[in-house]
Amino acid sequence: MTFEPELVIRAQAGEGAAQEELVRQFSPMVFRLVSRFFRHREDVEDLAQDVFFKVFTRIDQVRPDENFPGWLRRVTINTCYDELRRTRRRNAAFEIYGPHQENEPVAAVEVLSEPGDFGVARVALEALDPKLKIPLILKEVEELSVAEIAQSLGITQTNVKVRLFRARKKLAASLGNPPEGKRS
Amino acid sequence: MNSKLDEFFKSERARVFEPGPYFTQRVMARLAGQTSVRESGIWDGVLSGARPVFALAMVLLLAFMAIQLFLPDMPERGPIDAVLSPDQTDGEHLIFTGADPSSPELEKMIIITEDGQ
Repeated sequence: MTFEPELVIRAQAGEGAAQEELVRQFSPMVFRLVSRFFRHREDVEDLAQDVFFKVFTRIDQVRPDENFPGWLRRVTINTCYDELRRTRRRNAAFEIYGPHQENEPVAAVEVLSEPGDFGVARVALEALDPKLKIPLILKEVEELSVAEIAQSLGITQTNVKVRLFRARKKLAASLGNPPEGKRS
Repeated sequence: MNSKLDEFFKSERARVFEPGPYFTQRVMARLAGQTSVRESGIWDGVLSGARPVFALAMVLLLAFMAIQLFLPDMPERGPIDAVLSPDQTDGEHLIFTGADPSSPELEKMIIITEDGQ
């Protein structure tokens, strides 16, 4: 399936069929990206809907020479980032009074060493600040380059590398492992 | 990085949700619903260039109304000022001293003055 840039122009003109076609073509990509950050299907679907709603309310901002898939990826990541921050604020009380992962590195290693059980790694990843979590997931799971992450987040490549380093360090500390050298 | 963590990331790559068969329809329905709500909004009736001016005018109007509502009207001269002041009118003198008006004309004048206030 190839993307026709004319679809965007037609969608900008308010043509419903073009908008529908864009949703059909790009919803797998949006779902895949949102799935990286959220684990429940309902959350993923709600956020994917939010993404397309934002896309069509701001589609005038897409320039004719702009890379639409790249722009859509930025909107998707920003939507996920906003939602992660909201969730983090909601869970602030739980984070303060709940179990503290840093105090349980031995248990973390034990659970992680069990074959097929990534529960502790998942919890440690969930506990990361969205500012660190998003670049790390985009790098390690989505396998984007530093340049692509920088472009998607609207930050410099140096900033991405710093965030990746801090994320790995925090994750290693949460899991009770010594951090290894920076990898970008 | 830890090899277990690498395995974890690898497993995360496989965890992907696919859009359901009616996802596109749901998005389009939501879009249509939101568009009709937005079209009926008062803000959409204002030209985008005039919106800051309109917003400022609304803020000033609301601020003026709030001041009018919450600040009580201050009388020009209160009862104590009126009693102590040497230039009391006949009406004020009668009101604050409690004396009877000396004539029906004066009584009528006092009533008219009070009604006027």
